[in-house]
Amino acid sequence: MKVYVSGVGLISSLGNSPREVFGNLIEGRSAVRKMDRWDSIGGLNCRLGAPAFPYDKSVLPRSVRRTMSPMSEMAALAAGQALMEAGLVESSEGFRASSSPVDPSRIILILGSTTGSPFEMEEYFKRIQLNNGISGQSGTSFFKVMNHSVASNVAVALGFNGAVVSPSCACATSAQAAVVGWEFLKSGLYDVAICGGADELHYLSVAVFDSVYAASRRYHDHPQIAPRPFDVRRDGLVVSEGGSVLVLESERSLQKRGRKPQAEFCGGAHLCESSHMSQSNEAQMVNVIRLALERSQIDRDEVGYVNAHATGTLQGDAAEAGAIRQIFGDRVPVSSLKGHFGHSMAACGAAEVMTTISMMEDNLLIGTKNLEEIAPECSGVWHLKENLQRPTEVAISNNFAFGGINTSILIRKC
Amino acid sequence: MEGPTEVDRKHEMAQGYNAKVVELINSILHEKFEIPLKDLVPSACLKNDLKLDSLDFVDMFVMLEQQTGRNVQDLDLMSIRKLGDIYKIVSQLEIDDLGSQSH
Repeated sequence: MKVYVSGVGLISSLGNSPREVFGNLIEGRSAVRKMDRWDSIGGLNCRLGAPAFPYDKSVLPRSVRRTMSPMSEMAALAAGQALMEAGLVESSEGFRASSSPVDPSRIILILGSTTGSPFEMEEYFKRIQLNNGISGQSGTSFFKVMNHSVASNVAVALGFNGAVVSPSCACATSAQAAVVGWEFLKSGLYDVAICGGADELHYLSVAVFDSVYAASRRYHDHPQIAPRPFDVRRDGLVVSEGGSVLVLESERSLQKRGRKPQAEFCGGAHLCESSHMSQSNEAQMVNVIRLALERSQIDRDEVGYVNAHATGTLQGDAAEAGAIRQIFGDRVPVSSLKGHFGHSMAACGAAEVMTTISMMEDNLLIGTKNLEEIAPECSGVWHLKENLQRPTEVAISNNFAFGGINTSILIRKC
Repeated sequence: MEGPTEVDRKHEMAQGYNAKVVELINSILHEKFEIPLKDLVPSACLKNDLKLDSLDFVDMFVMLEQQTGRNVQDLDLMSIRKLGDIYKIVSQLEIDDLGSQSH
């Protein structure tokens, strides 16, 4: 039984719909800017960020918005887009069991984030210090900081009463959500999986990477030349934010509804790399890519494009280039989108899958922004420095996260 | 959308509400809870008319504490059903200098 992508939704640093984003990618735009408000944060060496495009949260009723931090707002808006596109809701007002074309008990919602809201956590602990205790805390704070805040808030916004799962594995969260969604659909227990992730841009997120020398610090005077995936002068990632949602649907359900899918979700894999909490491991990256190919029943020679996770870090980019080199040699075009978007952490996996679908639909592969001189340790693969007009039938998308969670996903053009 | 008229104000005073309290509560409900001013009448049922629930009550009283500097936790909050009930119990605090405690 095949699985397809029947809808996509995206709120991001490069636009508030997959089409708007793709237009900006074609133009080679960068979302990265200097975050002046972080100048006063002691000890923070990276003060670059890639904030989301302004979005209209007033379309969400106050009764659901009150428990949302920005990550839930972005996820809810992205979910609304994806479900509308999939034809599973009639309006952005939400999912209603009475009008759902698919039995709600056969729909699963799988959304996560890296942490609960860092904005709300900061405010919460500030109030504790200010009031010398817990007085003055809002009744809605917990619902913004709990680990499954994004999943629960989106479910409430949609009026969704089906199964809800909330994976959390940092930068691979939405990719893992999609792979797990595919696994659920393959099990036959569900027909639709609403999969994705979201994170918000806060200096605490940057500090995580900054403290281990994985965030860019050299390009504050020229923000848009950072980050620099695979480049010899790369010096770390730039944190972004957003919400991204893929609707995965079984072949049987699509046929029953008479809907045309966007792409085939051929399969994927997620494996833990347990030798180190933060350092990438080339051998385990090879393993997850191989397993994804095997589970998708796709030969490596069929793959026509690799969407790399490459965030612009010294170690991670080199390890991923090595893994891609081992499997695909220099025969397959490779690019990363982090130079355009920045790194939206939990949102990046699903966002990159839908952007890869756009590339295949338009026969246009987006090159790696800011890749000027390929680093020797990243060489031996076919790096796209510029956009390339090229029909592509099958693509693979990688994501790797702190905590050793590695993912790889195979997509086929419809 | 117009707020309460002068006639409404006189009616509020006649019911023993502190006009400053009424103004403060209405301001919170309008600005933070997005309720139209025209709906803010003493007879409005908090749950059915203003669509407020227990989470909203917690936040409203936190905001009131911040604005007044008074602890409202000891008031008889469980008896509240209508907007006029809130006007009444907060008016009992005999607040003269509203807003000076806000932070």
